[in-house]
Amino acid sequence: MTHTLSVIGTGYLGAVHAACMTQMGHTVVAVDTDADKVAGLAAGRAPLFEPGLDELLAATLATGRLTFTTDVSAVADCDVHFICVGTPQRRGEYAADTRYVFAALEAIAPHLRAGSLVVGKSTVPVGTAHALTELLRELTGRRLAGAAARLAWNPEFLREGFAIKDTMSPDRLVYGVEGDAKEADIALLDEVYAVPLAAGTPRLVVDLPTAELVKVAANAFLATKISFINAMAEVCEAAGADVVHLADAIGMDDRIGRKFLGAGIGFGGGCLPKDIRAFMARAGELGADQALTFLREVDAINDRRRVRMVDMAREQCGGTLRHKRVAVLGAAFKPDSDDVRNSPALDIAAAAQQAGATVVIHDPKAIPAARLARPTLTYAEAVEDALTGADVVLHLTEWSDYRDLDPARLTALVASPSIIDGRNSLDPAVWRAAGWVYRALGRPHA
Amino acid sequence: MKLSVIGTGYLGATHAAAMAEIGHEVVGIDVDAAKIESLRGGTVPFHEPGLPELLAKGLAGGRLRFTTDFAAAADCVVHFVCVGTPQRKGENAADLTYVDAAVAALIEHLPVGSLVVGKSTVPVGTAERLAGLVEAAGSDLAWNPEFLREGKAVQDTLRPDRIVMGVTGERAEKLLRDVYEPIVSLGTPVIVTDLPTSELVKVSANAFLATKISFINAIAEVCEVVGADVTMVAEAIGHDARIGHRFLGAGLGFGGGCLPKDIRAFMARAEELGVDQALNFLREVDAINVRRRARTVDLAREMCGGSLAGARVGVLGAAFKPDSDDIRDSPALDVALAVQQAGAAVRVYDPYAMDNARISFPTLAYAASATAACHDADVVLHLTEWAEFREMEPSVLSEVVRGRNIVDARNALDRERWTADGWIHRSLGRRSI
Ligand SMILES: NC(=O)c1ccc[n+]([C@@H]2O[C@H](COP(=O)([O-])OP(=O)(O)OC[C@H]3O[C@@H](n4cnc5c(N)ncnc54)[C@H](O)[C@@H]3O)[C@@H](O)[C@H]2O)c1
Ligand SMILES: NC(=O)c1ccc[n+]([C@@H]2O[C@H](COP(=O)([O-])OP(=O)(O)OC[C@H]3O[C@@H](n4cnc5c(N)ncnc54)[C@H](O)[C@@H]3O)[C@@H](O)[C@H]2O)c1
Repeated sequence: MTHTLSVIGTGYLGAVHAACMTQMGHTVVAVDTDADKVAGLAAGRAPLFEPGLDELLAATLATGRLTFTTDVSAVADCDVHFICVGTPQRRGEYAADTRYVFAALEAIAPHLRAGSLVVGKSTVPVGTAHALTELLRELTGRRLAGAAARLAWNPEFLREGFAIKDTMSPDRLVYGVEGDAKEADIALLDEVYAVPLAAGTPRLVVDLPTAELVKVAANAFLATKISFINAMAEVCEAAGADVVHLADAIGMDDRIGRKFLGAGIGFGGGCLPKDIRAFMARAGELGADQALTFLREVDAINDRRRVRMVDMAREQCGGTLRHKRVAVLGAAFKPDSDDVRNSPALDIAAAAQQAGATVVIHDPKAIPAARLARPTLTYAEAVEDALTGADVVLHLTEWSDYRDLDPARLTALVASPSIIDGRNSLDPAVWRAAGWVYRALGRPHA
Repeated sequence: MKLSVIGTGYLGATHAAAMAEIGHEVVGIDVDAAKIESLRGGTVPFHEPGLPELLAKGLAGGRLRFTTDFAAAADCVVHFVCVGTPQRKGENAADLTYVDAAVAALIEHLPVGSLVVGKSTVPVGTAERLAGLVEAAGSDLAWNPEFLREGKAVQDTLRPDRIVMGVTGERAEKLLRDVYEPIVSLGTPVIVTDLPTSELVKVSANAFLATKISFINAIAEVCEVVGADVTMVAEAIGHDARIGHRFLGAGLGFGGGCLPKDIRAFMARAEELGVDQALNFLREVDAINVRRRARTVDLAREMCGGSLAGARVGVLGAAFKPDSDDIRDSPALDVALAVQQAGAAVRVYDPYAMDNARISFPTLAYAASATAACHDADVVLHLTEWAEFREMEPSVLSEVVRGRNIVDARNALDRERWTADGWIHRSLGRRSI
């Protein structure tokens, strides 16, 4: 059975969720406070680069079942409301800023019909869902007496770059439900997710705090895995070992797994860094801060890799970056995305510039976003322009475009054929054969 | 080929028998005469499923023999060093005296042109140092770390996930490939790398496993505060292939002769290399692990009404993990001892590890069965998840205990069944039902 759903917040998560829910057959009203974003989406323009999203938007808008609006009263006909607003890191603090989530609930509350279900998807500190349940009861209890609106938590695990596939066929669905009507909530969510469930997606039913924790725990684990291999890279640099061989060897143990063992300049983006910090902050509030002290190390290892990259650039430039030209390949925090939130690439580029270098950055998709975030950096539309006259080339985001480069063709452009692979994803043999000095993190002799 | 295996403990005895099984002529050498006597007689001096059969087969076939005489290595081409590398007393670093002594004794009899292969887990840099000695004696050195798990040692040796060869030249690689040919031909991946990388592969694999266990136990600590359920968190995050379900069992944490000592030795070595900050997180991994033991004692105390003084406590499990009689750094015995120190009368039962436990912890009381251990108990602690305990009918214990209280420190019992039989069931990282 299909439903009429609302999606509140149409950023990375919300825009993809709204389009995918429409694709699954539902009728979707997507609401955002950002009028430009809404106008763009209504015209079929995704506010971000996500493979396949433009096509999916066009197809789903054409069905007539997907609308975008800034008018929150449009949610009145919906049975299910997905909260997809942002939960950024608070300025100057580790904790998450949950005010948009509370504001979104307050905004829709007057329009909720009896028995409707509000479903949180944003990543929130554990305990938030209970607070929201209270608020929802306060806001709608009297008006909807007897059939009050209810709240469930259904954390989202999509990865930017794979967002559509991850939404259409997720690894698992997690329903956090509580209260007398929880069987009805489960049944309703099963109808909403009928398509992935029919394809065999595992579904877990848990309580609200467990649902909230699943999301932050998953991200904490992934951050830990990345920092683990980067810590091994630090040891490899000191011991003269090779972190790529090491990752291959330990990754064959399926209790470990090779995925997310790519040593390099570490994680960034709008999720991992803020989520582990918010998790530490919340544990502190709960008096369980020692449980997550290790995440402080995970964060510190991650930051140190950025510093190390700048140090290596300096070494390659003969001890100083002053008056040197540095070409930076990549601005997005990861390939197949134009997201530059907390991007290691831009951080390193800015640090090199600070150290006196002339830095020119190329990225296949993220230059517009990067220009907004870091207006004082210099950008080039073509790889060749970025490389011209470079004393050192830094490979910082592993777009396939860069793996496909022909190093022999580039030698003539640069002042000195020297590349540092911050992602361990280029083939050292190919670059060396073309006359380049190739260096990488965690492989002092490779 | 003719091989020697120096050191015939858990690793060496298994390796020697497995090498004979795949067709080599093997001599196992150890300084411990009693151990050699026992192996010669076909008795494995520890519990390891499948190993007695393999040993018997090797001895009967005449391809496997044991001696305390290093001269027996003189006609072997490849020599595996499998001696212990325990934690130094009062320090985090690994004690390399056994490795050094074994290599020194071996060199006395080493035919020129042979290959010495280190299998013991050692701090990075050890192989390069030993290579100097071995090369001076006219032979080569390689490092070939071992990843076997106790309880699955035979299978892990005959069908490993991968074979890592740390070598300095092609000759060593060729010889090692010849040794492992029957295993490689089954499709086992081979990774050929340098000496320091091969040493690091082993310690970093163990460091990762320890980190994964402590990760989920840290989440358990948070779950205990907010009333969430760590087993559901583990189940949900494990569906992500980048994470995986394995080693996400929240509970009493890791122990044994490897993980704890290996991560400590790794930290110590990083410090010597001047990169101690790289491994600061392992200090937390260790601390989380130790805190879970304290938490289990606290739960026992709570279930006894706030004090363990004068309480009777039945302990199920002594080995550091099921299907093993290894009690080195066993969380179970650590908890049993702490509970006893807090004034309780403790009785321990384990299907296989009691003899070892008695020797190391003579002050604890032991019982011949689970029911005997739990007789009149105020609380039962489930500390090693042997199948015998997982499959036990709660009613069997209901009849003998004084109070139906159980702490499942391994999250391995079916709590619905125990609760249905009138037990109060508590575990780590989950609210009680
Ligand atoms: N981006 C990801 O890969 C991803 C994956 C899983 C989970 N998440 C989580 O999803 C949430 C959203 O992340 P995002 O990356 O989509 O953020 P985003 O910043 O791209 O989007 C948030 C959107 O919410 C809108 N918004 C804010 N307040 C609103 C209100 N009161 N009413 C309606 N709209 C409002 C903003 O205008 C913005 O368009 C976060 O909690 C994030 O942690 C993100
Ligand atoms: N047990 C495991 O599961 C396992 C798995 C992988 C790696 N390892 C590593 O393998 C090594 C051995 O571990 P173990 O568990 O087999 O230890 P163990 O204590 O069971 O065996 C070590 C053996 O070496 C013998 N020995 C000591 N000095 C000797 C010498 N100079 N000459 C000959 N023999 C000597 C001892 O008598 C003993 O029998 C360690 O480095 C360990 O970290 C163990």
